[in-house]
Amino acid sequence: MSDRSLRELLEEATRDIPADVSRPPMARIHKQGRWHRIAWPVRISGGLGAIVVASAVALTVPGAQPQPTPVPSTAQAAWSHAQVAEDGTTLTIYIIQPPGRCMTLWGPHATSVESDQAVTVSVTGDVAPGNCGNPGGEGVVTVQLERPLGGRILRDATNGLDRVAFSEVHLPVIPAGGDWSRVDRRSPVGLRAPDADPWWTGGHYTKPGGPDIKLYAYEKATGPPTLPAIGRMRLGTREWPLRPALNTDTFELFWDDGLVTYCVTLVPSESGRVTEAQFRDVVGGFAWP
Amino acid sequence: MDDFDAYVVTAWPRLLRSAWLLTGDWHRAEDLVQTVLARAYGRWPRIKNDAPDAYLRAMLATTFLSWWRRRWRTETPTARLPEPSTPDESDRIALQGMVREAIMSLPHQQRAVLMLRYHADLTEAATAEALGLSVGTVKSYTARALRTMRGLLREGADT
Repeated sequence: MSDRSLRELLEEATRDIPADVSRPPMARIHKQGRWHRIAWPVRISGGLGAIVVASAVALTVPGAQPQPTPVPSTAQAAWSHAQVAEDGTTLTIYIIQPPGRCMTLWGPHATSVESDQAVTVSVTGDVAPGNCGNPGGEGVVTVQLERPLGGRILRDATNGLDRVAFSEVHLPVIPAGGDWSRVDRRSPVGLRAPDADPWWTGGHYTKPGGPDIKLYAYEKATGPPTLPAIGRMRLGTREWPLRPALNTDTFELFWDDGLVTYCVTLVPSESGRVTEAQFRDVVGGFAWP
Repeated sequence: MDDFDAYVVTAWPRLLRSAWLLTGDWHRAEDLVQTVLARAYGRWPRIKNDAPDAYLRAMLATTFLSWWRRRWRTETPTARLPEPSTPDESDRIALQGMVREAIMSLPHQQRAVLMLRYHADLTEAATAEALGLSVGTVKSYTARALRTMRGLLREGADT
């Protein structure tokens, strides 16, 4: 099969676009697009000399080359997401830099200013030009709050933007006596890829004979499409929609908190499927916050 | 953002076709393109002068793989073939069906590589960069995908 014939075959496979999807849904694209408009400023602190100006040029000019002998200067760095530990007060902050910009942040540390309504976190570190090959991620830093984050807004001091917190507090407790073993650790995924959806793995548990349990979360605004709910399930004190998974061999239960949607799904064993009764039985056995 | 809207109207069919090659379903393809365009909306001033088709198709591939890793672990092609009206049309539709089945039989990463290499016309290096793979892996996925498609199309032609 030549390259040319393959291209022709791909064109043939996609030739007939159905009428109901043939026009772009401009209104929906605009509406969804407004959610995605995120600023990525990295502000260099003032009062710096010529060396720092050179650093700033490297930070703001896409494609700028690393300097041969970088000289660090103090800078405030933007961040994108936080993970809230089970104690509700330990925040892991995920620092991010704009794609296409070149900087290295050394020894970052975070401080917080708390009020009843909001927690504003500031990340600073020594910044030097360079590190062009790692767009989208600069590492993590933790900050300890005086009291649990709770329903307070989390805000980046660099740009004043509200930020998403994925919280272990909102995850169910998987019963220890059910042969489940944990096979991963909680972490954000996709934060290092500038064009991927940021989402968070809340845990993957497995046991002999399956099914596996998967917990994850994502920003409400970036969620993938879902099928209509077929029922509801009670989690703690509230009821949430139960939906068939898109591949229809299992189910998913969604619950919201602030800007985040959490989800639990059961992954069937190879070529098997999870029934609604089985899903309700397993997920109903969790302890919910 | 008038130029964004103008671009979307023009590019919609080709982006939708690229998305179909990934999802195998026109409505999922529509969701995928809509999501990617919404993300591109805020960055439009930066990307509009730098091959936006290639940029957006790379976003289609990475977003598709991101969604699939989360949600779509198995997929069933849902395309239904229209009733043929003439012998020529019948042959074309039969070929279309075979090609669609062959594409959907490929693993997701191979599908993404195929789309970027042969529908978006990206080089091996650009495909590798878009998907975060090595050039060697892109070559290997391409070879495997072509071998699979060749076999399935030959089988289809024999039956």
